[in-house]
Amino acid sequence: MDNDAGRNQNNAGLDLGVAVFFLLWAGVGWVSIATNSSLFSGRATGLDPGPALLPIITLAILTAGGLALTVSPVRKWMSASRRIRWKSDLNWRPIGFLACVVAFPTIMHAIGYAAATALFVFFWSFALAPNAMQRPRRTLAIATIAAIVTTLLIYVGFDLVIRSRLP
Amino acid sequence: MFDVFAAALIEIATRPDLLGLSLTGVMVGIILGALPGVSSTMALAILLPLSYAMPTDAAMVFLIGVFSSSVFGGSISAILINIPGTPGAIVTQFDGYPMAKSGRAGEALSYALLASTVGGLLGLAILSIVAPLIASAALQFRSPEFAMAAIFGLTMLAYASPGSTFRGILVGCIGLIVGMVGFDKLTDVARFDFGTRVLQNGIDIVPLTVGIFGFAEVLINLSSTNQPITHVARINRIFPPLASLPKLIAPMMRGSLIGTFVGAIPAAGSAIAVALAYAQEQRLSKEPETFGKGAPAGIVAPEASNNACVGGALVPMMTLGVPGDTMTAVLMGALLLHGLRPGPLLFAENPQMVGTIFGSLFFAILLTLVFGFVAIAAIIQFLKMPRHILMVGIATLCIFGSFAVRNTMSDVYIMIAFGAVGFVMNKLKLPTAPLAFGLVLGPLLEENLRRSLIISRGSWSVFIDRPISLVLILLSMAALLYPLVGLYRKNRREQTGREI
Amino acid sequence: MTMLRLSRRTLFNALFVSTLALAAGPATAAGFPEKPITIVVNWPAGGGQDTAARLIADWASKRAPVPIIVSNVTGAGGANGIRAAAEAEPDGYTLGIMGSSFVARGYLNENATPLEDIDPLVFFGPDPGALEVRADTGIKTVQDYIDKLKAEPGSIINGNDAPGGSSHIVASLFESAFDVEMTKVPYQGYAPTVAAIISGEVQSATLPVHQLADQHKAGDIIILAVAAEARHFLTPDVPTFKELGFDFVAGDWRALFLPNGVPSETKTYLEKLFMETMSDPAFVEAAQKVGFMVTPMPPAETKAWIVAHDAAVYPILLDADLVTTRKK
Repeated sequence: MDNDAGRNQNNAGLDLGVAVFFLLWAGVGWVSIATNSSLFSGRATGLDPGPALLPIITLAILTAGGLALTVSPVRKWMSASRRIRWKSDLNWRPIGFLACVVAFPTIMHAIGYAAATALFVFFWSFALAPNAMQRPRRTLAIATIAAIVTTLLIYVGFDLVIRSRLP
Repeated sequence: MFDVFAAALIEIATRPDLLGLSLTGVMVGIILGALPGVSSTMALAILLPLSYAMPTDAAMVFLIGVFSSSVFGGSISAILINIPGTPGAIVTQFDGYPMAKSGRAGEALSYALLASTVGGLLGLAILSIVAPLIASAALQFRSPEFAMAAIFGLTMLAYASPGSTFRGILVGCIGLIVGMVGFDKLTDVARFDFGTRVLQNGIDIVPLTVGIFGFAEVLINLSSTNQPITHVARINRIFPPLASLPKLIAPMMRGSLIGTFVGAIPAAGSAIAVALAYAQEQRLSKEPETFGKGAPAGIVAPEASNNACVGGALVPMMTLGVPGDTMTAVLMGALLLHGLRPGPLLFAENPQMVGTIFGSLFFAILLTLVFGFVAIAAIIQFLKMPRHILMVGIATLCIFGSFAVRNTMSDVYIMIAFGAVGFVMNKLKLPTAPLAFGLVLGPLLEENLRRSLIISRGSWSVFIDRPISLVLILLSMAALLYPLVGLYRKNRREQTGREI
Repeated sequence: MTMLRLSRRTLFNALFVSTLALAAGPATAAGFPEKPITIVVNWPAGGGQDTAARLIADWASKRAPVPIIVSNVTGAGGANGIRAAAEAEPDGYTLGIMGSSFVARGYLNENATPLEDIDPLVFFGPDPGALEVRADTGIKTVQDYIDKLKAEPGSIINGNDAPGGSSHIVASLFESAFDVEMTKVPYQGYAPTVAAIISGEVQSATLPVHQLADQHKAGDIIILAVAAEARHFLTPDVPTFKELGFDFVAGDWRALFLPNGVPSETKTYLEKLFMETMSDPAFVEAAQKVGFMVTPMPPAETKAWIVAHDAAVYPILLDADLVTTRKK
């Protein structure tokens, strides 16, 4: 159903990425099914088709779809006999940010949610600020205010009002 | 019925204490609803003890105020920061957020608020006129119908991602698999869990949507530009152009009808209603390609449907004594605590209470409209803060919101993981909305498909023997075949064009 | 502007509260309690467990110097909330509430908390199971029901929880007690099961009495018998199985528990607090309105009840292939 005509060479990399993305999900799914013995144990009553039916159907569709999507980029690559160029427009910011967020729960357990939030907001408000170097004092002030306000809002909203069990 | 309703309206309108309680409920409901991770159910459950001390009518006025307004509250965060405040708002953001991003946040919120009001009032009207009728119709909707409705919803994926239908369907399959993670609903077998506690919890809709829409959006924002992150475009106006409204009446009506009916089906839930309303509007639209880019119809249809669900969900509670969803379950608990048993005998034994419930809902909707406009004017100021601080703040909200849903840290990790997935999918130019659809509809499909087969003793013909189920199958097939026909026609036209 | 003003006010409140907290100084050993006590509920807000917990919390708050609040930690079939309470700091500020599904869950999920890891506190009350049929089935008595199943095994479709859930266990216990076989269809919780029997998708159900008391009065559903020692206060016209000559008692129950290792003075304080709350006639009346039976019991008896329930249920679970871990 995809109309590949008119796509240029750059998109071959993208298409392959898409195919790999789907196949990765399918692969992880198949591994999980293969290692799950209780899935096929007879706990289901005789009439229930069982907990394995739909996962297998869905994974089959995903695998077939993923494989089908590899055809066109691979063919293009073969015919053009050129290397696929991988576009890289990634920069450090989302990756660093993601790493910080992943560490966040651990930090939260260690020093409490309030301190963790204040530190996180302060650091990133500073790090992401435009022209931080030209006006360091102003940026620092804004970051400090942001950290305090965010922490207080989280405290009021989640701790005080809805009584979430924050560490 | 109408005299009771009218009496209740006059009663509430003439008593400042009840009006005040309704307004308080509405204000608290909007704010709690807007907090990600606090669903309407949670808002109600938190405020329930406050109502213990009140007389029954006051308690109802207050709680229904919270219930009804929290639905609109959920859309505020959906539109402003791409995080659904309540699960029912997951679809509102598909078009609400793009519209807000283009500097039309005020308009988007107003569209949502107007649609909320229309949907709420229509749901209430249907509730008050034909509650018993709807209740019996909704009871025709059993496991086979549920299963086929889920199939129908999934075929709508074909329309949910124009231009990349095939990929959209595969993303939907990922959503289905994600929905299967955790304990199987029918046999309690753990699936896709790799033996870990985190995955045995299952993947809740809120951490997933917060991650894949909200957190991913933050990451995309951080990566998309090497130039500094700057202010959003100016906020032009609050009220949408009047000329745009007549066109939206039909989508609102259709959304409301879907919402009322789906809401009336016990255990269906608003997330399903909005998914169906959105998909249908996109299918009927003359410009389906504008959906997902800020189409007003894409906001008003699900919003109307979401709010009509409130009236719909009250139908089975008041006529059958079965809560339509978790929110009405809390409301029912409140009624029980006050010594009133909603059920088949409520209309006959206690018509005043029925009137009070209708009246409270009416005022809750009106006051949401009034307070909503005041709130919109204030809330959009919030978007004027520096973009980078907004991003950091949203990320913080993502973390705490996903934690608060079930009070477990594993939901935070799930949110982060799906934030990364959403980011990768954006880089691969894949649509993310089908994933949420799959997650909502997958469990519904599987549970009811298998249950239907147990009840029919293994016979698949149960799906075509029952009329509603058969109609749904035919609709699904039509939905699947229609794009193929369109493609065929287009090909033909192109060929003939070339020949001439 | 409203929003801004509001947040400024809440901000002020927050500052005020945190100053107070600082002023209170370090904790002294004697003064329990000095901060809010939390009851962890392992099912979502709005369910039976949650309603019971919020009711208890609200009434106990009136007797305690600190607020008692409810927090829902859900997921994994109820195992998460139990674990959250069992692994909490054993300082008495975190309690849990559990029901009969706790026992089955322990055999189904190796990550679930076993009985040894918790300390039962106070029993709230039983929620006895019952046998309900649709009026249009023509079944009028328990004997009719059994006869029909004996003649055609599996001919009655019964709505119940997923395997391991309370009403599924009642159904399984019924099957083994009367040596019959029904077609058990799983639903997710009580409300969908109620909808299923009302709509006629299933012909019978093994739900607690209060779920269908109204429909029984309206005549659409007949409650054949209650699986308890005494008749249920909501349906005084329905006999118990024992009155009918069948020795069959089964159903759900609820109890509060603490993590292991709570200091004994603290435990005594909490026991006294909740025993007094639940013995209050006004509380019992409020609970009855919602449909709960209240029969408070002190820790030792509560533990004995749970052990007895475990002993009765284990063979059923084993038989239904529901014991995947901690095999005896």
